[in-house]
Parts: sequence; structure tokens; C-alpha cells
Amino acid sequence: MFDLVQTYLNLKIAASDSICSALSPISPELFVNACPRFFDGFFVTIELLLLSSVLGFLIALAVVLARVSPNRFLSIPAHAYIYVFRGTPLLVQLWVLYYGLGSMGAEGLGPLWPFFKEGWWVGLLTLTLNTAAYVAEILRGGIENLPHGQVEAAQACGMTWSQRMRRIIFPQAIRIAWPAYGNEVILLMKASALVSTITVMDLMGQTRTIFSRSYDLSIFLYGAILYLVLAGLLTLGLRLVEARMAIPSFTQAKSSRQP
Amino acid sequence: MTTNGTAGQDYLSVTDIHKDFGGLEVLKGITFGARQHEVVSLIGASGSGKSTLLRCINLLEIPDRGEIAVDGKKLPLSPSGRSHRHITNQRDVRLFRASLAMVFQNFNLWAHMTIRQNVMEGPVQVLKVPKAEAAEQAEALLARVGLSDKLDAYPAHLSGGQQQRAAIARALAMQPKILLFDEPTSALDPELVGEVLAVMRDLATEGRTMVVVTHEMGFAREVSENVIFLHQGRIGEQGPPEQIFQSPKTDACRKFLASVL
Repeated sequence: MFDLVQTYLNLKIAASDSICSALSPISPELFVNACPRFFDGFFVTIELLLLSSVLGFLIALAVVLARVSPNRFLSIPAHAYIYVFRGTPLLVQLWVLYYGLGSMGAEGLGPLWPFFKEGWWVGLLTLTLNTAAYVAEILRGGIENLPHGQVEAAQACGMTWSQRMRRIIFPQAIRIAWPAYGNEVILLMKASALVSTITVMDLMGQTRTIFSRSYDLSIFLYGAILYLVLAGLLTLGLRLVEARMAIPSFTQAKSSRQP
Repeated sequence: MTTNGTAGQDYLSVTDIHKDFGGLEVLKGITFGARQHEVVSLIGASGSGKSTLLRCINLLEIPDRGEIAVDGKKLPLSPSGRSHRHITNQRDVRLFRASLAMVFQNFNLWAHMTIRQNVMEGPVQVLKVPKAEAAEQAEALLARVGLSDKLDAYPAHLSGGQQQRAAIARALAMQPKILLFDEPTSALDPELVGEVLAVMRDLATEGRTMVVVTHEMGFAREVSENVIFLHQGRIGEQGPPEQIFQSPKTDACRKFLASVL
């Protein structure tokens, strides 16, 4: 495990070095000097984004199952969770968890203190919980847009609820929901810049630091370009997954509800 | 599970089924039976409750009152008369549903699976048939309905008639005791109806127990042992096809037949 982390850190530095040296002949001096810092932040943003979208997706799966469950003890809490996280600004969520909870300090939080004193961990937690609420709603849209006959056919042959979910509903819902999910990942990338307000040195945090040393506004332009590069990479990745999952004529395949 | 004493030798017995959709009483007490190897056709105007009755038989709709028994075993429903009648034993219902295969008006083939996978899915997931065996069976069944060249096609790439034949193969793969058909040709273009009826005729000849909701009077007349005419949520008339089609006793049935024949 430690080896893996070390290898990753080395890779990160090597990548940042080689990109920066490749860019240096064609870049303005201002960027060349700040380049390693920019990439430090760039990788922090990528790490937060990948971890929170993967963890958020897993939580969203659990939340959406509860949300569409006929059992009210499951669906009402799921609904409340979604309502709270979609209904409050991410910035407020970050501040409540970091400054609010954090103000309780070591004596108030006990064993949780090491977690809540780190902006990075709180950022990861908040982004994860926030995106999970949105993704759960996106998946619910996919599930509820399935023609009812698909589920009835599964019921009629004697499948259990979990078989229907696993074999019939989810594989179709994820394909229906994928474009909307891709949108959410891009939105999450942009929203992640807010973690810079709780001391995390992500791409936005680094950009602001670099700016504060030179007061040259073009620094923000370089930051924006790096965000755009990241958006391009994400779009590409999402497209690849979409192509891998593609089923011929799937979206045209509609069978209507029984009378 | 209790044995239904009044069922006699009926393989499927439906007793006093009532179903109400938000104040609209669709079924007002339906009782009928089907013996093994018998084909029963349900006919009647739209809105007469035929499809709802069929959907009650495998509990896609839960009847408000009444009992259903297959091969002497009652479907597990809570006692009638409560506001929300419910399934009392999910496991038993799944077993029942697996033994009552349903063919839908809109085929309802699973859109994300090939035809072969559609036919394999129920046996593998529900009956726990090994995959290789299920695949072999799927190929044989699809050959039987004339779709050997479409095994790896997705439903969207098939015509309606082909989709319905695949859906019949999917139903047969469950080795059902009774086949339920819910207007299997109503969503088809006229020129595709024949190929589906041919498959169904073949199944009737083979001695399958079938309950068929249909608008195809020629088919009902030719293959059924018993025809039930539903009228406004009740059985208007029932009997052997010769009697229903040649000398209907009720005005309603006469009018209905005159309008469709």
C-alpha cells in the first residue's frame, strides 16, 4: 500500500516535471515559473474529483435504492438526504463541516478530530456527499423512465426485487442516465474549486496563491485553461465508457405501458 | 398452501375475482376454470376487463377479492375485504409466476439483451439452470419459433412479429404449467399476425394449457376448448366455440360478435 502511494507520488512529480519542461519553450515566463505549483493543484483537483465521484456513485447507488423502495422507512430518509444536499449551497456545506464542526476542536470531536481538521478530508467528504445526492436523482430519473413493461416481464417470470434491479432495471437505467451523469461529473469538477476556501491547495487554491505573489491577472487565465484541459479529459473518458456500454438501437427501443 | 376443494379437476381455477381501480369496478366477480391441456380464450370489447383478469391471474394486479389456484394450490393472498390486499408470501408468488408464463401485447423483451440472452435470463436467474444448458435450450426454442438466424440480434432490430415469437420462446423457456397470452397480436401489423398465431396454434396442438386474451376470433374459434365472453366486468357468456360463435345466447355477445366478425 505504502509502495503504491510512493509510486503514485513519484509519477505525479515526474509527470509535472516533464509537462512543465515541455511547455517552457512555448510559454510566457510567468507561467513557466509557476508551472510546478499549477500542476500540484491540478493533481489535487483530479484526486478529489476521482475519489469523490467514485465514492459518491457508490453512495448514490444505495441512496437511489432506498429512494425508490416501497418501504417508507428507507425512502423518506433518502428523500431527506437528497433534499438537504441539493437544497443547500456546496459552499455552505463545506463551511459547516470544516469551520462549524471543526470549531468543536479535539475535545469536542475526539477521535474524529484528525479527520475534521484536514481541509482535504473534509473537502473529499463534502464533495462525495454532495455529488451522491445529485447522482441518486439522476439514476432515479433513469429508473423511472424505463418502460414499465420491462419490469413486468421480469416480475412475470418470477424474478426477485434484487434480480430485477441488478439484471433488468439498473443496466438499462445507467445507459439512459449516462449523459446526465457526465454532466454532473463536469459540474462537480467546477464545484470542487470551492474546496480552496477551506485551505485545500487544489488548482483554484494554487492559482490564488500564485496570483497573490505577482498580482498579474493572467494567472487566472492559466488556471482556467487547466480546468478546461481537465474538462476535455473527463469528457473523453465519459465518452469512452458510453461507447463501451453502447447497445445497438437501445435508446429507440421503447415498449409502452400496458393499458 | 391449501388445496382448493371446489376446484374439481380444474388445473387453473379462478374464483369470484373482483378488481376495482380507484372506484371504477373493472371486474365484478369472475369465476372460471381451465383443465390441463385446455385452451381458454377470453374475448370481449375493450374495457370489458379481459386484460385485467389475465393480469390478476399472475398477480401483476392484485385482485381485491377472490382466489386463484393453480394445480390445487392457492396463490398466497391476504384475506379479502381489507383495504390493501397484499401478497403474503413473496417466495410462493415467485414460484407461481415462474409456472405461469406471460406473453405481453407489447412483447416487453428486455431491450439491453440479445434475443438469446432474453430467453436464457429467466431459466438462469429464477430456475438456476446452468448457463450452458440454458443457452442450448434457448437456441432450440428460438429455432422452434423460426428465429435461429436472430440469436444475437437485439429486440430493436426485429420486426414486431419476430419480437413476439421471441417473447413466446422466452415464456416457454420457463417450462410453465400454463401460458398466459395478453392480446399477443394486437400490437402487430396485420401482415405479421399470422406468423405469431401459427406458433400459438402449434403450442395448442401440443397440448399446452393456455389462457388467451384475443381479438382474433378465427383463432379463438379454431383452437379453444372454451370461450369466455366478458361483458362489463362479468362473464357474459361462456361455452365451446361452436356455441359462442354460432348461437350466442345473449344480446351483448351477439352485438360484440357482429362488430368484430
